[in-house]
Amino acid sequence: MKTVFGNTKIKRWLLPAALLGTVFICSAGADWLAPYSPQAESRTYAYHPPSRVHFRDGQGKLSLFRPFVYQTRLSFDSLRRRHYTEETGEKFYLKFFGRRFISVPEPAKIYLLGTDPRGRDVFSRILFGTRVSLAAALLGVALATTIGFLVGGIAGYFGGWTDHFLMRVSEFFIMIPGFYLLLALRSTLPAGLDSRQTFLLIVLILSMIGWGSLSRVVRGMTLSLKEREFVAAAKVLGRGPFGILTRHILPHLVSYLGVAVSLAIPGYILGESALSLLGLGIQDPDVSLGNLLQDCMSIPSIQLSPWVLAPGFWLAFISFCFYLLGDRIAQSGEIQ
Amino acid sequence: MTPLIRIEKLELKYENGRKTLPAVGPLDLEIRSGEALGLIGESGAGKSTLGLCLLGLLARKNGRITGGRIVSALKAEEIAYIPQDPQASLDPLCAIGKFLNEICPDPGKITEALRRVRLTGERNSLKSYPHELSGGMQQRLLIAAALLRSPKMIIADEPTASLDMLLQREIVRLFKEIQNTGITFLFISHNIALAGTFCDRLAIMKNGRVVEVAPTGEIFKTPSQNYTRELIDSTPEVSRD
Amino acid sequence: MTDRPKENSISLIWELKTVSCIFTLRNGISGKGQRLHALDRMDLDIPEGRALAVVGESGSGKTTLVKLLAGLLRPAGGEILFKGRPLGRVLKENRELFCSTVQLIFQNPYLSLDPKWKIRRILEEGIPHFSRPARAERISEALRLTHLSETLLDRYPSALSGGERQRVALARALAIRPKYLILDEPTASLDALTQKEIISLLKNFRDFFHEGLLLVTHDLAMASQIADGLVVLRQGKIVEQGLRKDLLNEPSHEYTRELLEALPKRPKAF
Repeated sequence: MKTVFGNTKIKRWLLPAALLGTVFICSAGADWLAPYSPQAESRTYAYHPPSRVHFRDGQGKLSLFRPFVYQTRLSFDSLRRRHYTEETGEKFYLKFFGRRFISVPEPAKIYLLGTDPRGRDVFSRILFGTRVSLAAALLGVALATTIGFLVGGIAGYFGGWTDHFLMRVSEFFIMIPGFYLLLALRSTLPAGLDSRQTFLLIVLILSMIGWGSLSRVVRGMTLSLKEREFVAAAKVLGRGPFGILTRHILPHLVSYLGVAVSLAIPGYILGESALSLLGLGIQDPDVSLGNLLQDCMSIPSIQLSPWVLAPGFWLAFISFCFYLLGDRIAQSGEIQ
Repeated sequence: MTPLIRIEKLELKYENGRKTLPAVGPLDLEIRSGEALGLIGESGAGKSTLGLCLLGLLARKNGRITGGRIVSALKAEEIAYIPQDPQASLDPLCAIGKFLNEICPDPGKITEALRRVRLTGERNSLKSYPHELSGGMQQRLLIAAALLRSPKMIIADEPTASLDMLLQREIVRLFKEIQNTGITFLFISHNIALAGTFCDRLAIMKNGRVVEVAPTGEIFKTPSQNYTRELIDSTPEVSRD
Repeated sequence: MTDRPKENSISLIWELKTVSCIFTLRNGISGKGQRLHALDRMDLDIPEGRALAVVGESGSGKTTLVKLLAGLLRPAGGEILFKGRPLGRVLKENRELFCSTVQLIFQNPYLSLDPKWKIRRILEEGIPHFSRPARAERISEALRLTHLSETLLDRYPSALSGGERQRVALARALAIRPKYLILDEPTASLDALTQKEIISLLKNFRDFFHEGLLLVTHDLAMASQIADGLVVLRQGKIVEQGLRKDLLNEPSHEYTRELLEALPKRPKAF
């Protein structure tokens, strides 16, 4: 049994830490990182493709450290298709680390991932949307884990009728297909809520789906842990049941819970996205990764402006990061 | 008479992460044919490591031979092993019959082995599972499993550690019977008094080295090392007053 | 609900009246259960002020008895009185008092310490309601009594040997300053030299526990070294009980004789 210490241990966590760190920085620092406000519309720049950043000017001179963009002009061709052509007169140099991370003097625009049908910068919207989706998912998971741990722990520790009752309740929640439960819960509640209320509502609904299966696993692990001699020792030393659950049993569950939580977060993000996509979650003018994908709901849209798919890829990437984290936690749990 | 196994200046180390820890050595020891040799020492002395080495199973503990050699007249298949903790060594999902069958598919030999360890009777039918047997019966099952290999030598690693006094005595008697059929025994234990009731010679191990080896009677009458004396003293005596 | 005061001159800590404890062994999932009497209608009085040893082989019910006395198990039949009151009631109403009076040392030191806790925290577990300086003082005292160094406080159990772990378990109990100590085969998982250390520690402690000590073991020799009263248990029933010197010099029951016989004789040496 090799114990891993020193460099190797850090190496293992480096990748997930770096990737997740990026995601968190993107969401936390959105105010500064995003070149534009997520609600800033511009009819003149709707369906704009990603801005071309130049490192070499028309004469072939290299400008590696001073990249620039040209202003673009909208024109329609004979088939009423949009074209944005560059006006190669004036160079507008990119400014870094100013009031925003990247900016460009007016009237040029820096649309790193293009714009949506209403002329809003996709890149900025993704950054702000990550914030909302991540927050909802994390809060939802936190709530579900707490409920799951409490229910499972109490059921496993006390057994008897408490166990029976709590497990039947959890089975009810597990039984209902998650997505339909989401919809059902959402539809029973008033439609016209402000954004903050909607947000909290989504968090609550998401956690209702998740706690069930978690509680069953926690119950199983509690059943076996409570037979351990150090638990009996704690009882003899005068510890009450709640103390034993939180101080002796929970620490032994952390490895499992860590994995479960990491793997659940992408699901929660997708759940929130699904709700928002359908118009039942976060709605305009607020941004979430879900309602960003509303622009992708038709093929012509995607044909015209394929860059609106970017939020989807970003979602996949975030999910991957959390799976990676969960995998690493699982690995570290084995080496003990 | 050439000994069955001769260990010369053996050194064993094992890996723990980046560190290499010395486990045994340099160690010299002889195991003679037909004898019962007791290997005595406290936990961490290296007795089990030495036993595993003789079985060729050092790699399991990430160990390797780093010096010296073992000259053995026996092949690895001719040595059987009785592990320390029967509960941990028996697969709880494997019925006894199946377990023994995998070692030797001959039903006649199986019945004979079970008879020798006195595991006969309804309660011990081949369909029972390990958890249905008591600790003592589990240990006897492992002995039967060892006998099924028709070994020339048996290494028993603390076989009585989890058993009470009466059972310990029974197991040791069983070993004596088996030894009388010509099988060599290496009896690893921390209990010198128990080993003394059964072994012909005792080898005392401390910190990976053999500090004393002599016939049992001599060891108890005139132990040459202080450590041996300490071990002998550690057996609690009955206080009758 | 007044408790009748005991009239006897020797006060009893525990009284077991026709206590039975039954376990069901199942053969597989659908097999018939086999009911085993771990304790069979046992009557036992445990008096104050004595060091008592309960001796028996595996399966005799020793560990079950320990769990019953410590309140970890409830008897299927009969009743247990603790200082004249039903044990169940004492645990419900005065649990704290019970835990500060009676402590238990478990059999396997590799399992009775929480592997994720540091030693300091383990030692403090029984005395949470004391102030920090009081806790520190008790821990120092407990470490001194068990010959453990203060450097162990910041380590985890996995860094300690079996003998050290068992001494930590002893220190943990000592920090509470209980009046009665129960020990369940405290040397079972330890090697001979460590056993000797623990036995000598226990001999020193014997007088620490004003109300007494109960040692459960299969080793009659160790029992005789520590206790002056012996109870011999077999298959859930008491076979013989009495003072050490009577039992060991003139055992009246055959089983006791067998146990004495089974002890490996230390050959008369040098």
